[in-house]
Amino acid sequence: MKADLRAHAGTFTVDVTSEWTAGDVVAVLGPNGAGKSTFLRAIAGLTEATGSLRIDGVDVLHKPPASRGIGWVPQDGALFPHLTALDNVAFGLRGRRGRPIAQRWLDRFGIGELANRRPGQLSGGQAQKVALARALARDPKVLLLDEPLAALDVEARTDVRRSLRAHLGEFAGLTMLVTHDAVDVMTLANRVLALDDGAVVQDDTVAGVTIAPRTPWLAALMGGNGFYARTAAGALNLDGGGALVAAEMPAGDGVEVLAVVPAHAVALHRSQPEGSARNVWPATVRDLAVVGGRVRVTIDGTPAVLADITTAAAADLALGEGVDVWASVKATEVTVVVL
Amino acid sequence: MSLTTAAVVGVAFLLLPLASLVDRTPWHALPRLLTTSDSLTALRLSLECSLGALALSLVVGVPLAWLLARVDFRGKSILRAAVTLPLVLPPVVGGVSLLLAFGRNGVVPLSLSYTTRGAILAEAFVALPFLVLAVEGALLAVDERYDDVAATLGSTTIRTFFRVTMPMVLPALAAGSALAWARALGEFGATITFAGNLPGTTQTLPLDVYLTLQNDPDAAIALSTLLLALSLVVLVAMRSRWRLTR
Repeated sequence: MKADLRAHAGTFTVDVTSEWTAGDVVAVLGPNGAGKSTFLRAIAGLTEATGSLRIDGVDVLHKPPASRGIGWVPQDGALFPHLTALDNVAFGLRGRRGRPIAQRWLDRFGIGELANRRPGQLSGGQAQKVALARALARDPKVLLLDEPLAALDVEARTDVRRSLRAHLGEFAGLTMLVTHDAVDVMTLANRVLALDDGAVVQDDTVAGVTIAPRTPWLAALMGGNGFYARTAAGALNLDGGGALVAAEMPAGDGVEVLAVVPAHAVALHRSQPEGSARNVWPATVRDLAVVGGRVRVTIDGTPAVLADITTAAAADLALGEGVDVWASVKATEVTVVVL
Repeated sequence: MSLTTAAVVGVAFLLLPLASLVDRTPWHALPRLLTTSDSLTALRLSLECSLGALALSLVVGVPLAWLLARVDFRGKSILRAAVTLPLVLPPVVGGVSLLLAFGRNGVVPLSLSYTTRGAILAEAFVALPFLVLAVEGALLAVDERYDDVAATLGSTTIRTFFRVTMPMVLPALAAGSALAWARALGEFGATITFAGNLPGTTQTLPLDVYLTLQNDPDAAIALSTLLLALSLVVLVAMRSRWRLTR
């Protein structure tokens, strides 16, 4: 699919120019209001758009949604509440005549025995599988998934993600997947399209975004800290105040960069550390949260950072809201992404 | 006077007349009074006209509700106000307007005045807003994403309307139909003005009641009780509908 697209939603415009190949799974990322859903709706033909949108070489921008060869799964699936699971899937297959094919699709998702249930009698995960089956049953060239896992609880999310991973592996077309979850990016996608305020901020492989995110938001999504900065006399002057030193620096002064510091690379101390870390600054703990057996500490300071430390370390340091600490980061842990 | 006292007065104000009607109903003579040829003629005509008006309201009212709920266009609020107007318009004014539009020398000279079809038209004129407002409200409450999903699944607008949208607003459609039918059944002012009062042709139950009251009060009371009973049936039917949808 080749997009040279300006999608409109009221006065808001999303501008995307890029190209992907069949088989790609593109994670569409960005903060709320970045234009992710609008972009997907524009591909589906559900919102006004200008430019061109080529699917298999054919410009489909002026075609109605029905004849674009797309499948669209909005948030929470939007199953027709008055139709059974089977008839929901068969809806896109010319109704009753499509029932045998629809049944096969439900079977493939392991929910064949739920065929005669209505959406109200399905769990969130089951309903989402029916919605995915309904979109895939029409054999689309482009599958558009708008936060397919966001409304699910943790257990159902894992289950549907596993199912989605299996089906996307077999799916020959292109998948565009809007998500806010780094796990989805890692486990489902091979490419990333990051949007902010209607513009593309990064169009990259998943590995590329993991190593070198180009915005603080992306850095945070991938579990780190990102700071806009400029090089000056061998250091990085952060736009938001403070400075960092990196082991590898681009040549010259005034280069605009994003300084990326993984959360696990931030060490915390109760007194000023004597060690070899080049970046040391005083700070205050604002907030603590236990995530996956580690403690995520939000720290106010110059700069403010997120630190991922072990529960043992947190207990050792007797951390709590408002506690004064010292933060340190080794220069080798600071990655510089030239913008 | 406390608020509660005022409320009790209000209840009495509403119920006393109805209770008086029930009290004065000649129950033992009811079967005879309701089966006179005059009564049966009016009853048959009333059912014919009110059901005809309901059918007409459905045919034009449902698409109108869809237009108001789903399509953006200039002057929509004016159209909505116009649709609502018959609710507050004196029915006799509606009758005069219909006469000028569809009467013998009307703008659209269909000569529908003083015909059964004219009576149906008059009843539909006042009943239509009940149906449109009920269905439009329900359509507005239905997430438009269902329409969008249906479109991406290859459905035409008309197929989406019948297979997706209509089934989802069925309870409101039933409630709106019941209200519209009840309103049509009781229609008086617009009917008598536009369609006249011709026994067997345009003399529906309410018109019959009004005329009979002059010379045969018992017959008029019997017919009134029948209309009250029909109203209660509609009310009860709608209540069970509300319970179902909750």
